[in-house]
Amino acid sequence: MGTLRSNRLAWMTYLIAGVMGWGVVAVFHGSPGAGKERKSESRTQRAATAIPTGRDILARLETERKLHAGRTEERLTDDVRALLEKHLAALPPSGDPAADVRDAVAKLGDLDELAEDLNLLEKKFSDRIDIAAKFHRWMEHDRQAALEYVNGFPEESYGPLASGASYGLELWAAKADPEKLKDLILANPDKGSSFLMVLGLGTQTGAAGDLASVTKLYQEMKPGMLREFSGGVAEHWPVERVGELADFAMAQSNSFLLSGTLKRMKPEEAAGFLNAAFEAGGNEEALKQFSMNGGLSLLSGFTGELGFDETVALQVRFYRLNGDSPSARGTAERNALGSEVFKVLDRGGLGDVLQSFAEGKVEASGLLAAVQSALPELSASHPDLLRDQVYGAILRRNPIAAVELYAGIPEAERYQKLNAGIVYTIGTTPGPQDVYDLFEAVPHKPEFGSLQSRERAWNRVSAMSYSIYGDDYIEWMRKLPAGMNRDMALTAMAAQLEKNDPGQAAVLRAEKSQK
Amino acid sequence: MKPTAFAKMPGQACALAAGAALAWWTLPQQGDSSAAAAAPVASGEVAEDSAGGARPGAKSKNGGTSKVAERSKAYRDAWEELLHRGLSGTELEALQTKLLAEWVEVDPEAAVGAALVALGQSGRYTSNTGLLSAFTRKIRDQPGIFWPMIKDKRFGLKTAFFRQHWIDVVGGNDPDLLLGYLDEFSAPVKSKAIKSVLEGIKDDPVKTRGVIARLALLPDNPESRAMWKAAGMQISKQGLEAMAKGLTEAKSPAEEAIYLQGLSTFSGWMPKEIGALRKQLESMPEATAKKAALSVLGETYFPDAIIDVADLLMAQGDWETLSKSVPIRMHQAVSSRNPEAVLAWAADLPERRETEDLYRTTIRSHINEDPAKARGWIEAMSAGWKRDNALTEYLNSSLHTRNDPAAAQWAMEIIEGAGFRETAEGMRAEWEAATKK
Repeated sequence: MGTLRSNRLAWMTYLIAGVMGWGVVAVFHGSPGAGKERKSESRTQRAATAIPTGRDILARLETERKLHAGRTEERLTDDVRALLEKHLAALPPSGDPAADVRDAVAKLGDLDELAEDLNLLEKKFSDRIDIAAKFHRWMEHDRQAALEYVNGFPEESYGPLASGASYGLELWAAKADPEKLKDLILANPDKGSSFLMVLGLGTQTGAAGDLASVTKLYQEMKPGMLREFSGGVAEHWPVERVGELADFAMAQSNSFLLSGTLKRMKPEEAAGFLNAAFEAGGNEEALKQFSMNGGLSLLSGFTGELGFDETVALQVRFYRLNGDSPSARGTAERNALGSEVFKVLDRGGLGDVLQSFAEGKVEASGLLAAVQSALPELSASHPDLLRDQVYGAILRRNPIAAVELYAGIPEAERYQKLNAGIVYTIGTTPGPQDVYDLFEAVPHKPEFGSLQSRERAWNRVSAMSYSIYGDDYIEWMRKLPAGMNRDMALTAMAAQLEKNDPGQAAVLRAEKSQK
Repeated sequence: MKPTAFAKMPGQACALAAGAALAWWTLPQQGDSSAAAAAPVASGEVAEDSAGGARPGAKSKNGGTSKVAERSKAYRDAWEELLHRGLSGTELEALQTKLLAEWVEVDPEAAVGAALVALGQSGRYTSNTGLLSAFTRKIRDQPGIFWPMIKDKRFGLKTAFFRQHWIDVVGGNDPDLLLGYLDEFSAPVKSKAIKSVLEGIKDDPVKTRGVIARLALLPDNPESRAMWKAAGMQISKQGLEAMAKGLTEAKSPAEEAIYLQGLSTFSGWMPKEIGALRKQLESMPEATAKKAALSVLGETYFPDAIIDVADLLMAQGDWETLSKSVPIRMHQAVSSRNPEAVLAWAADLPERRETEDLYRTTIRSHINEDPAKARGWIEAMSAGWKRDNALTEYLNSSLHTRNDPAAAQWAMEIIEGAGFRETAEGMRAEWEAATKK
């Protein structure tokens, strides 16, 4: 264990450094780390010259963000494309396009470090454009060698593709001769680089607007390429003939192409097309495929323009493809409403109110009123459902304050709603401490009936919390004051551990105050 | 409708921004706000002093502290204002990440605390690392400054989420350093740290073997065994050949246990490489090969691998293990997979008591899938041990799978060997007892 021990010394040094002042490390710890520390110092030093206010900082960050929006995207944005084309035109001639790319990538520095640092990635933007242009030139000069170079980096690493070359490749693929492009794709399948080339081929094929060549290429593409190819075709197909492409996609049960095509239509056109497909019959398989591959969330997005009732009716048709279910309408209504509430809170200008609610400066009723006035028709037609959806959306932000939404309903019903809210919160439940506080604030009473719904809520909280916090969650739970909620938390956690660690499960059960 | 119209307590905003600001992430159960409030200043000092290049002890404490506090407060003001801009989730996160990456240079603890609160409220704990990616570079450059926050759980329960990110970054960047922290972690966190270390050096077989050798030096106790298991599961991704090599060259039982775990995990998720299992087993010393074979058997559901294991046990004359452990595995493996591949192998099985069950489990799915075809196949067999055993299985399957006593009777009448008749009669009695209930 010699090395382990000496590393212990190393971390002690770091620890002392942390307490005493970082400068000490440069003196005592002359390891390779010392260089990195200097980098940090210089950053700090720059920041130290003036003390800006919060407003100044925010204004600067927003300006930077605006300037660089799109520059960290995987795909080429218009802004970046223009820069790249300009740089490409000004590129001095070279005798060795391959060496140019390698040199430019080496000059950029540690690719993995860049990948993790948004700010650094943005700062090096002009270098990345340089790589893009030089890679574009290498593709023109010797496309197979250029591809082999980028394909030689492991997929999961941050290779040259992600540091600019992808822009060059995308630009090249958008203009390359389709036949050559296709051959190159088939010769280099299943690589990060093929994604962009397939997209380029799809884009070109779509723009040409020829169904015969679309059909032919579908036969030649490999299964893993269909999504990107379809995306490119659908996005660039002549918009005035988009119905033709939708018919083709439906006939082929091609859900990727269908989704992409419907996105090009106005919501009422798309809905009309889908309703007609239902009525014509014989499209069940295609429609099923479509609904399983993201079609339903596409429909949810229609609600604003198409109207709530029509969107729900269309969704119900999809649900019934897999057998009639009495809950189909309820589910469709919840989905459509939930999507509207999310839109209003996330992008509808209510983010500030939501934040104020989280901080306890705005009451839940005030937040609900804001959502209601943003969605006047839905709040008139579906007041209770809207309230439930708002509750689900704000629960995590401030669970106890959210209870106020249900102030007007009978106690027992409110109790059930709160428990169900924890179980059905999308994404994740609130933190365990928040849930505990909520449950203590609204305790179980015998007249509410069985404990089952609260037990279910604790099961959900245990599963989420244990996966996030691991053993620390168990430690936290044990420190709770004795009582019903602690007991339920212990029981839920014990049940979860039962299979892999029956010993610890038994210990937790034994800790309960009421056996 | 203006947001201010809902303001319940206008004064609270100011209170939050000023006094309570430094401790606002502290969870209620922690209670000790003084430590949390003092810490950012201490860690902030670090940045200030290194910026000025001052030696410890020669610094102007008060000047540095107030400057850091002032700068940190500016970032907090920016942070709070950002939250109230009404931005979309994506846009907010992008700006928050930029802000945190700068804030952490000034006041690491305040920045981490703010990020953890935001993560909790947005429910983004499950996304990869979300906002915490803003700290990656700082963690890599100065891992030590975060350690006191992790050790003291300064952010309550949420600290665990940050700790995992810290472990992943340090493990990937400086595995030796992370190993140095090992004693500081609780048992489950130790295993996570081991995984992170091994993930960080996964492309370097020499380093990997060095770490494994070091882990193997830990005393044999439940905690170490959990770490060995975690290590084995992690290195299994390196493939069959690496596991076999590690196993053959293992210098201690612990090292061996780690590679056996790796082999076992590997054979569970399986590989094109499994075809090479036989070759690997044959190249090992006999005792090692047996252990390797059993660890494969414990996890694998691939008939080819089970056949390799069975052949090895038979070659070593270990009929007892063969008859006890292989049939159940074979049954599970072939019940859903291509039985044709194993039928040929079964046809060559030695005919003895210890292989009776194995033979039946190997041909079982063939009979279950298409009894009529199987009947033809059995009829074409020459009389003897294998036909009797196949008939016994046919009878078993007719009764227990298809409730078809007539088909069972057909088989019963043809069975010749007294031992098999006895087994078959036992099966029928069992079925009759069960159906009567």
